[in-house]
Amino acid sequence: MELLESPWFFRMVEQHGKTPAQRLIAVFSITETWMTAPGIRDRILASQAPSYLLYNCSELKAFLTNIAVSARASNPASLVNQLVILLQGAIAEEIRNPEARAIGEAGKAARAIIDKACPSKRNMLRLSVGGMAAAALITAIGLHPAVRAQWSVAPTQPMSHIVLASAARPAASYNPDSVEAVLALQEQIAKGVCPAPQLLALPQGQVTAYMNVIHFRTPDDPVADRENIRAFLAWFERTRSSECYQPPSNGHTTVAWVAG
Amino acid sequence: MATQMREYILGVASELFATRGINATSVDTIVAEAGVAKVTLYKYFKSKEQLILEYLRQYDDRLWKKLTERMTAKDSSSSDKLLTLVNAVMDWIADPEFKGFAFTNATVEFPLDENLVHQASIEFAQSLRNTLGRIAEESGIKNPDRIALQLSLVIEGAAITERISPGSGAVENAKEMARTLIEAAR
Repeated sequence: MELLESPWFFRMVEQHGKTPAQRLIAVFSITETWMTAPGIRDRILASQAPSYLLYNCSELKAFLTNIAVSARASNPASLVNQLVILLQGAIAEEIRNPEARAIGEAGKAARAIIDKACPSKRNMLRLSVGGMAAAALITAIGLHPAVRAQWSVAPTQPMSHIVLASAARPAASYNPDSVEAVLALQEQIAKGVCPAPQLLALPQGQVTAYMNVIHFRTPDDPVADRENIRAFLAWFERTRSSECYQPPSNGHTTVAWVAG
Repeated sequence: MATQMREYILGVASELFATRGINATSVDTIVAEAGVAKVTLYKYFKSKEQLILEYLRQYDDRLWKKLTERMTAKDSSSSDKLLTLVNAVMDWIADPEFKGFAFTNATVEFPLDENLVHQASIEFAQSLRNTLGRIAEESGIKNPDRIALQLSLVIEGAAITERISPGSGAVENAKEMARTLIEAAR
């Protein structure tokens, strides 16, 4: 059961579904898949797993609360408490009686509970369009020459986002600096000054956030994206920035290649 | 006198089964705790297994007596009946004396299908789900088996949580969840 608090499990959940609500439901389908893996049931029975209480798993609950906040649950803590109680009961029944498909059924129950706890889908859509990336675009267009150049090529299609964004969400609620930083970095990478990030080695969430910024896409989950961008920039600074090579401004290169 | 002694021994054994676990409680412990001779115990119960089965049956009787009281006390409409039942179960769980459903604990302690205790405890657990299903059907819910399973999972989760971490507030969350699920099932 410790698996439900492992980075592997968290990453699996993050990769599932387009919306935070879908990710919360994915907690159940991933657990169900995991429970059908050979030997897992016996291992849980052999360990003292029945006394392993999800309700007291602070890491799991913190992880789920983050998603619940992104899903705009009216009371994220209460939603998460409900979901872990349901999951606990479902796992117990699944161990006792696998034919009942208890976890699958709990997933269906979870959907109803999440629907009740979160605003309607139409609201979600409007709010997510007004999310961070759209707000970021407004600032970016105003500030960044590279972006302005790109926008002049195909400016028509995402315009509606911008109009909605300004109405739905104040630009101050995200961090334009980190979006700026990613775009500046992207320019350096494109010029060959800095090495490209190893996208395969990065957590999925960070890759998505990074790609959203450089392709000017509206994120599904602006709050998570904001965090991911911050984490991505910190990672780049820590591991890759030392490989950036700034050419001297006088036009000469400091390294002379001498033909042997 | 005979029945009183029988009830007394069963009461002591039940308390030990609930607090220490069934397997962890030996007949020696029971007679020592009760202060009776071993032969006295065997006069009323021919084996430990019989004692366990009596304990489960009595627990089930008490639970259903309580639930039936609640169901009939309020002259609630048929549509509220399901919620009344779930809330009554939740209040049973919220009792500070609650140590897990006896039948659930017994299934964990006796995992083998052919075991008599296992069979009895499965039957008791099933009767709760069957009743949930029957009342759901009476109140016109389209898929009564499904809501019965969903509610029993909520009950199970609340019971585990409240047993291990008493006063956690799990019962309140579970009640809200049950209300949501019943509404969604209509």
